[in-house]
Amino acid sequence: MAAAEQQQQAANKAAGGSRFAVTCGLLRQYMKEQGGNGALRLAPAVAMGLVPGADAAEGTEERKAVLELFPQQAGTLKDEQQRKRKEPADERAPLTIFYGGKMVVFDDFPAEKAEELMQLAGSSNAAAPGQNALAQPSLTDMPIARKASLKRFLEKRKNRLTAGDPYPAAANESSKPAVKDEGAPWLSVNSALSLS
Amino acid sequence: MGGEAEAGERQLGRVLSFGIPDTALGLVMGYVEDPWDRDAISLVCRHWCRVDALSRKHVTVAMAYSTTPERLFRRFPCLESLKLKAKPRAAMFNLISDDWGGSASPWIRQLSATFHFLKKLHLRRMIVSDDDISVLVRAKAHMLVSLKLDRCSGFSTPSLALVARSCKKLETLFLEESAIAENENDEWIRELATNNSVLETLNFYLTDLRASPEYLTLLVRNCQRLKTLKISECLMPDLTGLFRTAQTLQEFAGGSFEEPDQQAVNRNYESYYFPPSLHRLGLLYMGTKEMQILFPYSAALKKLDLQFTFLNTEDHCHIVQRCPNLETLEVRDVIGDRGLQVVAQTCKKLQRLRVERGDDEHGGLEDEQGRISQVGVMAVAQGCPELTYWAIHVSDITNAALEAVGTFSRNLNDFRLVLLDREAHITELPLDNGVRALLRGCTKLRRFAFYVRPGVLTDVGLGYVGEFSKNIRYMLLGNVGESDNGILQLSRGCPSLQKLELRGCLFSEHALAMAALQLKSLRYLWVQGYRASPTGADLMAMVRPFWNIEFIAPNQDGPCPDFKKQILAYYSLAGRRTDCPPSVTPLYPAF
Repeated sequence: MAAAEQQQQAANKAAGGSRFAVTCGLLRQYMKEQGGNGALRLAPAVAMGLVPGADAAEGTEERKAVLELFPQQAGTLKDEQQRKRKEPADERAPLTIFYGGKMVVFDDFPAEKAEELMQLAGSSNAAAPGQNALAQPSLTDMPIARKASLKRFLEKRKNRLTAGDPYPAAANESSKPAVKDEGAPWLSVNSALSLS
Repeated sequence: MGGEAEAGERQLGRVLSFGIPDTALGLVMGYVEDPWDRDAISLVCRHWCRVDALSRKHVTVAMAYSTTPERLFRRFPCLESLKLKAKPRAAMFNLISDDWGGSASPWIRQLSATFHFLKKLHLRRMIVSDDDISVLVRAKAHMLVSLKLDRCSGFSTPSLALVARSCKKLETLFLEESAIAENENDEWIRELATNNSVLETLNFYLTDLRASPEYLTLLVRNCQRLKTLKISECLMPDLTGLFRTAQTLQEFAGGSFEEPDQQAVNRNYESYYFPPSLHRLGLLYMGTKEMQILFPYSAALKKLDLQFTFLNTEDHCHIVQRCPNLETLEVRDVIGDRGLQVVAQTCKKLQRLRVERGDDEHGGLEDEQGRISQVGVMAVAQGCPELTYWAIHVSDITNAALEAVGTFSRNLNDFRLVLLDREAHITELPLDNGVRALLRGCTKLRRFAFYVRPGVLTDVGLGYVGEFSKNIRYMLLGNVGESDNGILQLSRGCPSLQKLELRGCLFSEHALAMAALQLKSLRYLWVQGYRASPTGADLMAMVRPFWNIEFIAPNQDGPCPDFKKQILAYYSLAGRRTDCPPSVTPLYPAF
């Protein structure tokens, strides 16, 4: 029994580990692809940009420059690609879109706009987590929700602790805390702040 | 309907009544109060169903859209007490938009016109208008003994004055956490004080209602049976007269203390007077300087609410070690592991413990020691064997701590754990085996919440949850599982699960639908944060008769981000909701 449990534990750990490994693997692959492409595309760009001005530059320095320039270069390359794509901009053709159970037909649709549309559709597709098992609502997207009553208390508490005189309007009120003078809907957390 | 059929039914009724005469059956039924037993009895035969229907005194409708007031009246015409809940629980966490629905109007209209024996009404998370209250008062003022508007909104203080003036038999007026518009100050308290002499409970805790010490003292003087008084903010020095008058008061919550910069900094609370009968206390904004107010009375305290105070870890330790008779303790996580260790050493009679989440977002304000880990959880599990309810927010937790809960806290019927996200790393992953041990040990669990982070509860763990939760009726799971297989594993077990809430899980719509079909007892499902399909079409796999499926997209200004989308599905005999706001789309029934 104990042995079985231990085995199970080991299996769990293995499962956890393998999941992590899969994630790392994917990340590595992604980096390699990106990095690989970047390097390939970068090589001529760096050569053009650096070599004519700095013949004497050592290899190591060059590599450093490559590393620092990487994001910028990648950006310009992307722009270039986009520029290339935009070249046949004058072409026009009929376009039919099927979306959300509806069909729309355009007679004279500029190719440039079509390209943009395709990119847009592609990007939203990629963002849709439908097919991707790794896409999970992340912790930053879905913070642990705080109880409304505590949230209101902590706001009031913060006001009391930080501001020297958070309720200036209360000066002439005898015993009632000024927060209540607001008469604002109960849910407005910043009732004290909106007083002024 | 011929007489023959009726005669046949009578015959069948007699046979299935096992020869028990109606009078005897009626008398026995009088002793059966548990709604589950009642449900079972009413399924025996039509005759028993009728006897139950006529003798049922209280009904809770957990989801107001699951039936109609007409239908409820047809079945239980003699109800004396009704509790209705509408908005999903998530509304208490500001996750449900204000226009979601949940109006009490159709209910109040029907129960005012019929339900001739209704004495107690409890509405929770509903929208109650001033008109609703005036209709209710016109019909039921002479009957009403208890009115609870619990986390409701939509009404104003003149309605409270109307209730106070008209309902002379009112023993309980409960308004906790309701959003009440203040149109005529605290006149309603004066009305209550001058028109009612039988009030036992007045609760407007955690509301923004104004209350003058004069009217409150008048109320306490006139309502000699008052046992529970929970109010909003009101300075404690102004309430001394009230406490001297309230000789039968058992519970007090609310009040307030001067702000540090106000003149009475050096006020001495050491000799503050509370009536000797007072055993349950919760004071708003109490700080280190004021906590001495509790000391002379602490040994007698059975309930202490420190959730809304300024106390640090050290203060909690000082207070708790003087309270050996506590049965209920409510705090924020600022109590820390050290505070919980003191609880474990001191409070041997503790039955209910709530440790809420403190201020962990803005930094610096909350006590640095105020964190709870496996250390505190283990201490409490070992030290407080009587616990039946335990809700806790932790910053770290281990398998061993969960096992300790399973080993020592055998009386738990409600356990809720939230793992906060402020620590980047936690000691141990996954916690599948700890959860298994907990569920195996705590066999009395009826409610279980486990809100963690990805990787803490794997698909294997979800399988354990399914396997070892025979009696659990309500479950909340957050950030659990790795794949669809997890929820499918879970849904193979959980034979008693009626209400399931999921948040931040990666399950696809299809898997959710399959799980809903597979969970035998499921009547209510709420989900936020899942793998949505572009059209929501995969949810249609769970379509079946009487199963309402609603899709909620709170952002009406723009496209709703995936993580805000919600699914609500529930059994309903009322058919499709007819009052859906734009943010709610009924998927089924479509018309």
